[in-house]
Amino acid sequence: MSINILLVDDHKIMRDGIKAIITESGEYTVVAEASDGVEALDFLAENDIDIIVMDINMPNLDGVECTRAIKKRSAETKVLAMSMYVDEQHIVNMLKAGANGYISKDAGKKVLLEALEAINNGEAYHGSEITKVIMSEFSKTKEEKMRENPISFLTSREKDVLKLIVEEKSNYEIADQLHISIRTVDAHRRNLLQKTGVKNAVGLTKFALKHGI
Amino acid sequence: MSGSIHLIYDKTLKVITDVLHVKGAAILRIEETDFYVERFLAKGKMERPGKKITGQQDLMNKISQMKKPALTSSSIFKATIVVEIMHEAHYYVFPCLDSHMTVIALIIIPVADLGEFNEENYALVHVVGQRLSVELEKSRVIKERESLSEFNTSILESLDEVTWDYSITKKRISWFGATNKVFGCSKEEMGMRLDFFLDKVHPSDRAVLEEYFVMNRQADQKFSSDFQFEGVQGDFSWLRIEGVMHSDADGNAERVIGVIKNVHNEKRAEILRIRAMIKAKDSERKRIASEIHDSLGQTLSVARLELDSLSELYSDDKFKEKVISVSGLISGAIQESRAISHDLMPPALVDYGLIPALETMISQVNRSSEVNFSFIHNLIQDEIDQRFEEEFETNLYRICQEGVNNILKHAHATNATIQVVRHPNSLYVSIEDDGVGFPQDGQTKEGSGLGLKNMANRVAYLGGKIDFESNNGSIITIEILV
Repeated sequence: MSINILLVDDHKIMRDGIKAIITESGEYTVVAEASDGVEALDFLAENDIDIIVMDINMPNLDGVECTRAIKKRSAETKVLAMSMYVDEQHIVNMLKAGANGYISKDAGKKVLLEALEAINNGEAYHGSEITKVIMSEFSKTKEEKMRENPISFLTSREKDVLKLIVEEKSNYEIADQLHISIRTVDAHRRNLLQKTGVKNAVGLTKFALKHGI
Repeated sequence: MSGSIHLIYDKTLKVITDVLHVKGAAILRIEETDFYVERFLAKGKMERPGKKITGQQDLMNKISQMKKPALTSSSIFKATIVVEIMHEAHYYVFPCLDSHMTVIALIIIPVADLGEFNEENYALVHVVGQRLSVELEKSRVIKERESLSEFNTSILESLDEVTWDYSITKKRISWFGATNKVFGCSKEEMGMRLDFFLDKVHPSDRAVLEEYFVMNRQADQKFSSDFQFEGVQGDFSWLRIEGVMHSDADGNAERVIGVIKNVHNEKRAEILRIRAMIKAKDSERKRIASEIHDSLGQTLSVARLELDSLSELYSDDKFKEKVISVSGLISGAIQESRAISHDLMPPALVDYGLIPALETMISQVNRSSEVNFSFIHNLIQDEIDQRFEEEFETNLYRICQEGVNNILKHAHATNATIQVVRHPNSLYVSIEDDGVGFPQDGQTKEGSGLGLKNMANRVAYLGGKIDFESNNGSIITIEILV
């Protein structure tokens, strides 16, 4: 039995190209095409589809929002994101929206067919460059953990200024000692107050002692 | 003032008549080419004609020669009212001189019989005459000063400018001129204390102004600085302060005086000019980016897919090898076009805004460079989702991009931090590294200077402030009101 596919892309040339490739294999049938997210949702309201090949950057309703809507209605429907974008924001948002796979449009025929096969088998599939980005995205959660430690929120210069504030130095003395302008010292001081949420130098001193500066 | 000078004329004449018992006398006030008969006593009758006598060029020349009291023939005053004091007699003339030895007035007393003239008798005339000289000169100086101060006041009131005088010892400030125009507050509201003024200065400028006013500095050192000042409506306008410190005899800082003027329109015009320039550049970038993305990128992608299919139609190995090679070339072209398009218009910026786009940029340069970049911001998710205006985001992104490129190209840094801090009314951005710092002598290395200039232009576009400083690396700080 042939697998039903819906192509969603605002570029006709792209839809024609993908359609030609996946039809050749004989395993898949492109039963419909949509040029944006709204058209896709309209079609899906009436029809069942096995896999949706979804572009991201489209007018009216983009691929991320469309995928989210599809997955909300039926988590079973599989979505393969196929985009020109390979930056982490788009990848992460598409995966958060529930896409089963993500490949770059320039990945070529082999990758496209591998992706369709894996997704049809209920697996996730991501192109190699996508995997690289996802990996660094994972390592970033480490950074997010570090955020729980507010000291990691401070730049090294802010820490220098904070140390001198603890020593009850005035802006002028700090500027003199660090060889920076009054304006910059004052900016550091205001940033420290804003970032730590305390009101004055006393609060900053408490903060510094609490976190071992 | 003119009232008191009349009193002096009257007194002078009264003393002369009381002591010398003369029946006639005159006091003339001399101006450049004319004279005025201020007091006139004939046959015991006093008049205050104040009559102006002009066109007596010869007489005026003679008068200007009279540098000492002397007897003269009454005939030199012929054809003037003065001869009516006592016809055909000689006159004793006392010239009143100012400090430049210019004759400013004459006291004229008739001498009926030349033989009776005794200089001793007229000692009193000297006293009153000299007193008259002093008073006349004083009144002239006062008059000049009054008209000068009137002139100054009217200039100050009509310009968008105030002058100020701050006493360091008394900690008091005086304001002059159109405070309403410049600050939107009356002089009374501004008060004598500096605090009212400083409280309305934008926080990012306050430290610098405090330094000018409060901190002791070298005498006669002039300063000038542009700052933003909060108006009645809570909006900020650009003002420029210029001033100089004066010290007392012992060299201690005594007072700071200067001018504050409104430069908002100048600044606005400058910002508009830069804005037009940047806008044209950015919209062109956006257009090219979307063309590359929409047309070139998509077409190349399809071409590669088609080519991949083509290779399956023929089993010839050489042919397949060729196709794989061409496919690889196309793939390279796609990646390149994507890189160009993303550089021209980052998709993360368009779709998700400033903070996610900066996160993406930093993690990308971290993957591809030796420098260890970190990104710090204090915005909560709601603030990130709210987004800023498109132009604001684009410019700040470009500023950071320029800063990152500068670090990669010129700084030789190991660590670098990009920071965005949201304050209640402003956004603070800093780009810092631990590299070699900016060139010290103002001579910028090729490329880096242009980059910094671009950054400064974009900051000006957003109406913000930018500072470049080198110390253990470099730090660029940017502050923009939002």
